[in-house]
Amino acid sequence: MTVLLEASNLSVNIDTPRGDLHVVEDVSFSLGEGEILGVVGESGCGKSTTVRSLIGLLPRGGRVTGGSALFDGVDLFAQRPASLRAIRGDQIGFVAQNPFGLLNPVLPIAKQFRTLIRAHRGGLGKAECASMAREALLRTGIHEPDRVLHGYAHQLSGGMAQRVVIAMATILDPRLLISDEPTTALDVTIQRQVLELMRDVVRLGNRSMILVTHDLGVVAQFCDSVIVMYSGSVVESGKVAEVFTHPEHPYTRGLLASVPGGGRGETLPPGGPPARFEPARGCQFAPRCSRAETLCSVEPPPTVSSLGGDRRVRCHFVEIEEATHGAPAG
Amino acid sequence: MAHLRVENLTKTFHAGGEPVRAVGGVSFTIERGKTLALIGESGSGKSTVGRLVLRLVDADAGRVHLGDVDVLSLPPHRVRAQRREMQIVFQEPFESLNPRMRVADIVAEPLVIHERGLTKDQRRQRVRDVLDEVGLVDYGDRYPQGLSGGQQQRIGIARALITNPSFVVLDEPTSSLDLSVQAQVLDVLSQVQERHGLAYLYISHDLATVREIADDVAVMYRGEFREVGPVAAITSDPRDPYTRLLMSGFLSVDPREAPAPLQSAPARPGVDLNEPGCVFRARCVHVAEECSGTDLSLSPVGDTKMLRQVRCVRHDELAPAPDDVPRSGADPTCPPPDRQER
Ligand SMILES: Nc1ncnc2c1ncn2[C@@H]1O[C@H](COP(=O)(O)OP(=O)(O)OP(=O)(O)O)[C@@H](O)[C@H]1O
Ligand SMILES: Nc1ncnc2c1ncn2[C@@H]1O[C@H](COP(=O)(O)OP(=O)(O)OP(=O)(O)O)[C@@H](O)[C@H]1O
Ligand code: SF4
Ligand SMILES: [Mg+2]
Ligand SMILES: [Mg+2]
Repeated sequence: MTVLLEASNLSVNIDTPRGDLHVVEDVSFSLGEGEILGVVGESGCGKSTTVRSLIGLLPRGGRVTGGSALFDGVDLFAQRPASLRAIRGDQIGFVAQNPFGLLNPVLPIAKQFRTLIRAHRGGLGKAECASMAREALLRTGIHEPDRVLHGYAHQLSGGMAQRVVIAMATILDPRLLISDEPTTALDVTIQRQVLELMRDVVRLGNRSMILVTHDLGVVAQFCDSVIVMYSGSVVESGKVAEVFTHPEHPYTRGLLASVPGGGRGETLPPGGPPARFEPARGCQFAPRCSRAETLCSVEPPPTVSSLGGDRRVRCHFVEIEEATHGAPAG
Repeated sequence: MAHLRVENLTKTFHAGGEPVRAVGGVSFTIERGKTLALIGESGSGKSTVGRLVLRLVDADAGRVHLGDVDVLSLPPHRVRAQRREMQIVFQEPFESLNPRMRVADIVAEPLVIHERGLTKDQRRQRVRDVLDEVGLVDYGDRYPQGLSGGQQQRIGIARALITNPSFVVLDEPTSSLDLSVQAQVLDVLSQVQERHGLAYLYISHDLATVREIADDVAVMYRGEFREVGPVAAITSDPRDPYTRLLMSGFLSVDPREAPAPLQSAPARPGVDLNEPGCVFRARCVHVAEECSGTDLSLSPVGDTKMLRQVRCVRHDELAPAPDDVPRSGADPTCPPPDRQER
């Protein structure tokens, strides 16, 4: 499989009145063509910051402090804003966590589609743009695309706005689709339709997708690989079929166990990581971990890769034996 | 008598070209201390129902009573005062919080509008009390930015609660939050509900949280209720084909367990939904001749004490066969009956 995106040792800080916040630390992952990568982890662990850093959309005060992100061989972090803008939309589509944030409140939706299309595909007429937009909206399950196109953002329901943004992000058939919580406002049947659409785009067109979500069922059913984040770092990664059936990191185990109906084993104790103004010392999860020992809070855990394949677990106490013969049957 | 009583609420939007019938006559009641969940298709009118009840949008027809107050007939200048009694919490916590204001000032805002007579000290005390209720008593001096999504959402809740409302619309209050934070927020909501006897209208796409927080549930499709009644009854034995479709969407976290196919037909061309008949007939897998010709109304099903209503004309035929009936006290985490392998 050809690698389309390779992020290595990505770190992001956000400058706040109380100091420099270490929001993403040393995150690495790679994404192949035709592949869907899930990103999971609790609220505030840095999922949005990670994916937004790739396309230069960090919040004010945010900056990449280290690492590289090679997109088809081009380092995204070395791009000027203008060339990054050209890549975004055309080669990389983005669905933001808050869809209304991506829509202009005072322009009709049709006009916004047209601006987007023409920015990257000059010379298309109004009617051509409208018919492309209509097609894209129908594919996301919007029954009355014309009404949506003639209207404004405030006339849309939450789930309709989300689908408009998905239609915009996919309309130019980008090679990489980054979607940050793309289906939170959708009912389960439309969610299914939209995810199937995105999966087909990836599979049939040999595109790639990063899917940030807190819905573990979505990851289980629609992603090939997954990275599990905790407090700005990746604690576990690998194929979904392996990570979700035999989670190794105590945090991943707790996360999966907390799913109503699907969970087995010990759930997570309440609480969350503190805000970090310094680089991590030991394992960030130690205060909540039932397996933790003194070592865990002083020494950063190693990244264990001996589980085979591209599986990585960042923990002092990975039970390698159990994991090897516990490999999934299929 | 129920605290909130809504009858035949109706709203058609006229934006641009065609009229959009967002809410086509819905009726429901909510007692004090109880929660009615509103679930259904995206764009089916759930948020509009919430806004109509709060008079954030004007209804075309219908009646809304909160206690003794006839909400829809209030003159505009009294609506504002009435808002103290009825509040709303939105989905995206961060969007509704001003990043330049301290948490204490954000939470105090409704008091500044609605209770101008308070002294500074009284106001400060009220803010402290309500932050205490949502478990954020030490956060008054912070700014919303550095806070987690769950904390931000609890601030939204604190702001909604500070005027001591008796009814709150919760419009997807946890859908942008992860599971552990969701649980936290739902806990806070249940606790304050219990303490103050609040009535909630809980709009959500997440059946798991609906089962957790709601007493009753109404399922919406194209501006109408398809089915309404107690949560346990409807989730264990959905009778309307749209409810069944909605419940067939469950995705397992075990990647080896492929999702069940959705119980929906691809939209049938040539069905004109402006003609009388069931509004779900273009997609229904159980459609029959009797489904076209007359508009459907809700009819009672099952035990009359339960106040359960369904719209589908074929709901009797679609009742589960006796040996399919889930055991009483069915496991609420269990997928609905027609999803189980037989
Ligand atoms: N503008 C900002 N100023 C200060 N801190 C910020 C800012 N934006 C984000 N943060 C902090 O950075 C951390 C990571 O935020 P991010 O939005 O990436 O998390 P997330 O994993 O996407 O969470 P969620 O699941 O809630 O969307 C959080 O702790 C957040 O409080
Ligand atoms: N201000 C408005 N002007 C015109 N149409 C509107 C307006 N507000 C809502 N609508 C339309 O009314 C219908 C119902 O919208 P509503 O927001 O109530 O749906 P919803 O059930 O809350 O959906 P979601 O689950 O996606 O949030 C939609 O078709 C929407 O486009
Ligand atoms: S009335 Fe007919 S079309 Fe409508 S839900 Fe029932 S069976 Fe389906
Ligand atoms: Mg996020
Ligand atoms: Mg809504």
